[in-house]
Amino acid sequence: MGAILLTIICILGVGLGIGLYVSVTIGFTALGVGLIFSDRPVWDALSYLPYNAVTTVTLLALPLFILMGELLLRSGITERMYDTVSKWLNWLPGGLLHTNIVASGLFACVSGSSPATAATIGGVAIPYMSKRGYDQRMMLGSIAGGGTLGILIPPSIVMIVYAVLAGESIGQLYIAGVVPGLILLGLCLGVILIAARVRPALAPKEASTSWAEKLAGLVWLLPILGLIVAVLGSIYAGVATPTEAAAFGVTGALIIAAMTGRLSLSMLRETLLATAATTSMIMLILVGAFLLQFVMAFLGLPVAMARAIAAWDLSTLQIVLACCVIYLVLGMFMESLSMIVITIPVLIPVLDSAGVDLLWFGIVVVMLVEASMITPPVGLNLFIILGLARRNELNDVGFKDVFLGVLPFFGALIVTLILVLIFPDLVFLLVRQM
Amino acid sequence: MKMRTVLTLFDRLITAMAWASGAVFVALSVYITISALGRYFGLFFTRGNDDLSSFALAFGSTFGLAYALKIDAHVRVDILFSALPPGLRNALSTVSLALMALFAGLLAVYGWTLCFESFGLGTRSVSIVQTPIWVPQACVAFGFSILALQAIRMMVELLLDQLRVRG
Repeated sequence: MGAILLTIICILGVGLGIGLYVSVTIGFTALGVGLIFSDRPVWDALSYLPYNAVTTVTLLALPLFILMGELLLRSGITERMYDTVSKWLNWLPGGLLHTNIVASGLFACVSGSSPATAATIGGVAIPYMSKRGYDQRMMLGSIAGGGTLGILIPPSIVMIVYAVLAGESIGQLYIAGVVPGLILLGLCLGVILIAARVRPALAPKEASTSWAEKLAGLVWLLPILGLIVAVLGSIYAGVATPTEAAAFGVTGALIIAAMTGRLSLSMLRETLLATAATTSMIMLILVGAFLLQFVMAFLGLPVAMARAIAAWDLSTLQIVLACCVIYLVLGMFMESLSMIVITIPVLIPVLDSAGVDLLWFGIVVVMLVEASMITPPVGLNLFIILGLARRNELNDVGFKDVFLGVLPFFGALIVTLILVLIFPDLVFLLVRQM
Repeated sequence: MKMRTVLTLFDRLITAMAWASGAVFVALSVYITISALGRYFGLFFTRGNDDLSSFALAFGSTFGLAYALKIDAHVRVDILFSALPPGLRNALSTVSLALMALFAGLLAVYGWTLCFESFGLGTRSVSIVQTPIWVPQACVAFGFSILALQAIRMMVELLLDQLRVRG
């Protein structure tokens, strides 16, 4: 077992380290290990496994949510949503910083990706806020941190991939993420409130808006709320599968784009191409993952590992904590989806035989993936926000500023994670009501 | 001159395939929405949705592969990579593309084998509609083939570029 594991880690490490394509590296790791350690040919698997991977119907929710996000991104609805939320929250100390978090949370309800949430909200917030005297670090940090809500609050691409690889229900995982997501959202708002009290210079005082304006703005929240009902409500009520819910979302997003007048041929073209590129990229990684999962199972690696770890006589909490440490370290260097795809097939049998609840562990993993989005040196959200800042002529902002700005929100994330580890019921609360 | 025409046509093909893959997802979403509404209100029942969904996924996830490579959407971990000198980076990029071509080539060869087998056996899907299964399998194999060709093309272009710089 040791030799197999070492070979896998070496091939993956070298391949990823020198910057080969992630999907190709995973695929060749599977083939290499299969050829070295198994006397039965692995080549047969190359014909039917990739086909099985790209016809796994539960994965269909993935491209559909990507499509929905790409449509909403270009529909112009986010600008109006942001504007409305700001009218309601401006009176709080910290002003628009709160809007960044709440708008991220709302957008997260219709988006399955953390970088997409950060890019969408950042695209609206940075041009608007940078001229108003907000502390740059706090401004950028709140957007990068708020963006991580994108995957904890369902729908979520990471959850779909986890569910498929771990054999859990996508719908249950979605619902399980709601309470931890709300806690994280609350903690982020708390962070801003405290920071603004301690250092009022962080945020200027925003002009208050009249009730008439506040109420009029609510019209622009309706489309988003409608989508949330269609996508999450239908799953929660049990009337739709996650795939159907995603399809409702796409149809709804099309209608919204038509209503805002942004639906055009060129917009549709851009949307379709972006969806195709992201989808095929993820699917090729999953093809590699299916191969690796197959070869490892074939060699009996997960069972052997489960036995070895059982011999150490660790408690379930100790095992889960060890996983947390592994993910936090890996997350600093690896892209999130690849991290999930490589680790889950190995870890799941181990955790399952140790008696860890895989639904609960799924939420823990999602939070660790969020952490990976905002931890240097490789934190996708940090790069996206830095890129947006540069595009808005904030040229003196460096990577360090974004990172320091996001630190308080990283703290909020870790607190939420600890809460979920101590009180697993936070995850099961809504799932039991389904 | 002739080579350039071929490459332009190939570029168009790649973009058209990606476009089609996105369009399939839009069409499928609208179709699923309508059939779910029909089922919910007891108006009508559509059959073979699972077949349709899995074919759409097979088509949609492989027809965008080459386009994704072209616009550099296939992820790589570039933390070490970006710190290397340009010469070494180019060499590694060439290796990356070569391995992508090899991987995609293998997937394509085995994909076509599977497709021809199904065609010969006349295998149909196990559902009410019983669609012949070689059709989606051919789509998948075609998507992998075009990805392999695009990877080879990008590799050759990169090599030629490097030769030009040196020479």
